[in-house]
Amino acid sequence: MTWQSVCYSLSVMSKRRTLAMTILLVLILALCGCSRVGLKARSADPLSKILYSYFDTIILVYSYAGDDQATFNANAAEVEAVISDYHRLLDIYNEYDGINNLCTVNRNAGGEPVRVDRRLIDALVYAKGICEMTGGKLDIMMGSVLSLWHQARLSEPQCLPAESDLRAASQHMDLDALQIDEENCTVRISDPKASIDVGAIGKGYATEAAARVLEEKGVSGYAINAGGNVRCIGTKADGGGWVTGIRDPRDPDNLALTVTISDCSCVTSGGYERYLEVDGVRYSHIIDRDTLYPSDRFGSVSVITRDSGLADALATALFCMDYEEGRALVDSLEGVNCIWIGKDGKVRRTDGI
Amino acid sequence: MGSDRRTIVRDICLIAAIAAVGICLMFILTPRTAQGSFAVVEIDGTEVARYPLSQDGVFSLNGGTNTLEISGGRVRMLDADCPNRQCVRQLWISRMNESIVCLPNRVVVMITGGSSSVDFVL
Repeated sequence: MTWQSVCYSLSVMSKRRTLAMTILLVLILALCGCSRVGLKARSADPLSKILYSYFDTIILVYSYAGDDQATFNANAAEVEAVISDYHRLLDIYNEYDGINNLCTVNRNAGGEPVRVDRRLIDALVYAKGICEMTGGKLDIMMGSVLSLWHQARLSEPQCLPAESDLRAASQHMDLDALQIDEENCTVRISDPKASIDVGAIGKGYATEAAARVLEEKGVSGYAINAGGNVRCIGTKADGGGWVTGIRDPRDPDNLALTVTISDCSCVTSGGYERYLEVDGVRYSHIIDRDTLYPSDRFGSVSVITRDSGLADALATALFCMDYEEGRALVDSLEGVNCIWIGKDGKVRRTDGI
Repeated sequence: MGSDRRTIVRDICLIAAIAAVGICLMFILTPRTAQGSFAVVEIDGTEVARYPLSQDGVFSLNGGTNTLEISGGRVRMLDADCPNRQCVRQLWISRMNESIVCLPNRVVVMITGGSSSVDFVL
């Protein structure tokens, strides 16, 4: 069809035809419009990289920044380098050539101070500070007790640790037994039967360190999901945040609620994540340092705050505290919001969300 | 009168042409993700398979170390030969970015595509 004929058609059109044509044009434009929206959604699909080898979980690095693959690969490699370093430093099960890590420190418990990397000193000072802040509910010197639960989870069939063993081990969890010499960069555990376990904070701390490396480079629009420990850097390219769904503890296939976060972390401790199953009863992996047994106070507790290490540690500590006690702690902190979901599905949250 | 009939024929041709162009454009511009979600299987970081969530089935992965089940648009690890079977105990997944991991066998199943409004599920 030629352009002339189009003009001709238009010029001889009756009013009814004009109407019909207008409707058709609007329809076509609307269809194209729908497609445009779809197209935009596709271009916003994130780039992602999966890291397999760290903190006994998978760590996913996402870019929603709309950057190219090469830039993303470089940034993801930086994240991996940081996480890999902390994985080795905080590992309590394996030692590595050329570095003294927490496994080395634990092995030398009761002996001489162990000289370690400055980053490990900083991590331990930070973790010890949070232990004190939570009134000891979070305790990085629970290694003796946690190792019994760890063995129980790995045994086949799974079984509970013996009560007498737990009681005996609990004699060796004293935060004061951890002696950190910041000046000389050494760590010593004074009790030979005590050991450090930073499981409740290590992954979050490492994620935070990686996020800060990206932030210092001016990167925005990235997110790191370290086994359910989400840290967002800036906002997505379109200025929006990340919609994070919190499962319904009674029916974890469904969501209880969603929160939209940017430039901050969200960590959830829930009984439905990792658990130990004995005689049909599920025991959560979060051990209350006062009872020495898994906490079943809540369905889940989520912490939303900027620092991923703090979020990780608080999610564990709050899971082992009564709501009132936990709420008082959270209210005393700046920039921390929480969502408690009861085993009955009841949702309680701080005012900031 | 004859020119009027010609006009009607031309109008119909014009309308048909615009409609055809519109429909073609719609198909060209519509993103593939609109076709639905997939369970993407990665082994040691390499994608080895991609199953549409719309088709129920049981699939053997990684030479039989892991077995995947898709049912009603959801995915779970039905069986695995790893020591702690953490992956089998994990929940069903169905939303974009959700994943099931078998660390010992280095098998990851991740949901991609679809029109999920949720970025992360905790």
